[in-house]
Amino acid sequence: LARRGGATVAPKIEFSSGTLKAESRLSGKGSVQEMGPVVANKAQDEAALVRAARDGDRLAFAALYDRYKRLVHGIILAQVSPHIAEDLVQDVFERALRQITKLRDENAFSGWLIAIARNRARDNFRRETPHDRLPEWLAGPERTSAQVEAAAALQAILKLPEAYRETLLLRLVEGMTGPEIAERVGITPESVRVNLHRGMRLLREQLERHGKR
Amino acid sequence: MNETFEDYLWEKSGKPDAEVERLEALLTAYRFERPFVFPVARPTKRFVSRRWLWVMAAAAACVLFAMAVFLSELHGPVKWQARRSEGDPRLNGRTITGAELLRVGEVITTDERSEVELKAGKHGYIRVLPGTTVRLLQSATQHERLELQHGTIEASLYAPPFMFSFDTPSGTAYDIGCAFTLSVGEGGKGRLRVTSGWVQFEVDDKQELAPAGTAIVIEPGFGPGTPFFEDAPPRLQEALAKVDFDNNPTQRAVALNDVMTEARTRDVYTLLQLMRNATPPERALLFDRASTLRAPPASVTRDGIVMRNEQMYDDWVASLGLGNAKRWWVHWSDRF
Repeated sequence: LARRGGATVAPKIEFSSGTLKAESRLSGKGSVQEMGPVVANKAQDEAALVRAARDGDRLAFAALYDRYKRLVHGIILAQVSPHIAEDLVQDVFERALRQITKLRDENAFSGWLIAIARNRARDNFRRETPHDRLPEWLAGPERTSAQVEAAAALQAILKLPEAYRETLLLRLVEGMTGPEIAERVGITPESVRVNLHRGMRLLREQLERHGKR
Repeated sequence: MNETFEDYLWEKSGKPDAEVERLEALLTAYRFERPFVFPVARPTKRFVSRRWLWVMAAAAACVLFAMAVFLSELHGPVKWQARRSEGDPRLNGRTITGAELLRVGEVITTDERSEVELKAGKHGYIRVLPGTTVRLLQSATQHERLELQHGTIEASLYAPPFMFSFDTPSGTAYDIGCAFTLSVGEGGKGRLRVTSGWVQFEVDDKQELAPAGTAIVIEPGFGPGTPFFEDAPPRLQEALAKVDFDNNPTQRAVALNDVMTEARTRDVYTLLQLMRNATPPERALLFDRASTLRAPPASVTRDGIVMRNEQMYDDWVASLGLGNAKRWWVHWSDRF
């Protein structure tokens, strides 16, 4: 979606092997990520993106995806195994794409999307074969020590209470800042700050205990 | 906590906290980068005659019905059925006469002369031996939870790992397929014997994985001991109990030496599990002994083990040929 002189200019969209390739007639740039100003980080722009996506503009939807993919991934990762989480993110956005026409309030997009993500993660948690939650070292010997350390750190976070777990995953895995988390998740910055610091304190204690074993 | 460190955690400004930075670098591996793939439009429907459509629909309905019946048995909540094998066992205080359904919250009690066979739907059965009290705590899709208050059960299950769990006063046993005996005695002391597949026993953050042929002693306040093969020399078993449950450092050091002296090639798994929970100097000693019994794979080094490199532990355990617990279904035939 792009605006010039008040007129909406529809971007040209191409598909290649099922993956979106977008070209803006205005910018001439080749990807959604490169369209910086178009995807401005303002609520009104987001509402415009949601309206456009609701009207079938796939480039606008792809922009929303870029904006929210890590948030959705962090929320899902707090509930399910990492290798399943990636597929679930795709699934959540496919659902959102199918149902966005039913979203009446364009300012409610983030809450609506988060609700889809949480429901999908919960559904999957019930269905996830417990076999997927086996200690990772049983899965095979092909991992590097950094991967093992990363898996151990992730496991430690996943043992924390849900509020801390989700906030820490968004901060440490997805690279979001505290203010970004507050804005996207729709909770107060104070709550996020408390969750981050209490969660980090518990995580340090847990890692320290693990290190001493 | 230092204010600048807090700023870094909050908005990545100020002086970076080394631990936060380390975690960020490690966990970037899980960061989500995948592009969105728009769903491909469905292909245009081809014309199919109405008669064939009905035939195909009927056939599909039959197949689906058969599958639903099968899957509901296998994947739905388990239908628990208690059947008297010996004596006068009781279900919620009343005598079990024939086969009776066991519902969540209900308790089975056997006295010194009675015994019950508890059928877990299509997943196998659990023998409730004399002098035992068992309660069904939870029965939900993919999660069945029993509580063994005291006594002994023999489980023989064919189910995905972690579907069945058994709470005891001193921790929880998770079935990773397929057969084991779990006993709880006075004061919550217990023993787990694995006859097929793997079982994980855990309390708080301490976990032990026991493969077929091994046993674990459970001690209240300490949790699970180190798994050992049941045919291990008695001196090894006695010494291992001291290593696991004796707080006296001198006695523990002597016992550790005894474990290493008595260990056979087969006991390398026990030594490896000990290494995971040992101090670095102990790990070095255990490494030296274990590697003389069974040379580790080329990827495993002494320094790595001392530094508790998990990948090296994994490689070494994998080389022992104890089987992969993820392939739980292959252990089923061991029962026969």
